[in-house]
Amino acid sequence: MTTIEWVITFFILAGALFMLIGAVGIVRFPDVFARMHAAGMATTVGISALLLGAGFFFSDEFLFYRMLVLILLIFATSPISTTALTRAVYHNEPRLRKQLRHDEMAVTIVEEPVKELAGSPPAHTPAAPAPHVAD
Amino acid sequence: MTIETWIDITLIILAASLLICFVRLYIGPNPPNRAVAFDTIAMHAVGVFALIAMRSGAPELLDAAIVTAVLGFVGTMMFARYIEKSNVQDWESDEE
Repeated sequence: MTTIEWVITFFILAGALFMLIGAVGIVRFPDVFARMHAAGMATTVGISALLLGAGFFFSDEFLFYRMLVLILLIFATSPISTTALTRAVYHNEPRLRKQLRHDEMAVTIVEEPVKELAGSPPAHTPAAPAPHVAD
Repeated sequence: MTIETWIDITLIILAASLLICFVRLYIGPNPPNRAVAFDTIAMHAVGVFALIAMRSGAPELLDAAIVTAVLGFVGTMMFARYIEKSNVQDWESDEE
């Protein structure tokens, strides 16, 4: 085996082991947020290493650039899908919110009616200042 | 050991990982857990496509890997929209 083949072997073995770690995390972790954490992070690193190995394997420059573009695509889409899924679970399972140690979405949910109240007066802008002046 | 042997070993590891993902898909008590398992299985499909392209020396299969990555993303977004719009509050809890 030449040096480039050892490099390819290292990349694909590291990628497969990372994906195995992600799969074990999906089965072993206690709740759905922790499972999304395992599925989002370990799988992204694993698939990136696998595709980099595939790009090195075919000694074709165009194919290597295409694999780099695919890695960029996965790095862009995997956090988006994980965030969308986490938001969906957060809005639909209130029991799981009590387990969160730091809940950033709670601030957003409290602020949403305030924004609606602050947004509604401009519709009645001519009527609103009049009682204020009368006071 | 030639590189084909290493690719076979990697395929075996990836197949075991895929089986573990299917365990979560089977026992997942509610739809969000199954959606997470679906996301991971789509990523595994991309990896399996890349490895089979390397093993059989057919770089055309890498285009199939690109299409599979995009379809997995679209499918996961579709599951997320469905779970968010369905507004079901009485799913089975996934506490063990």
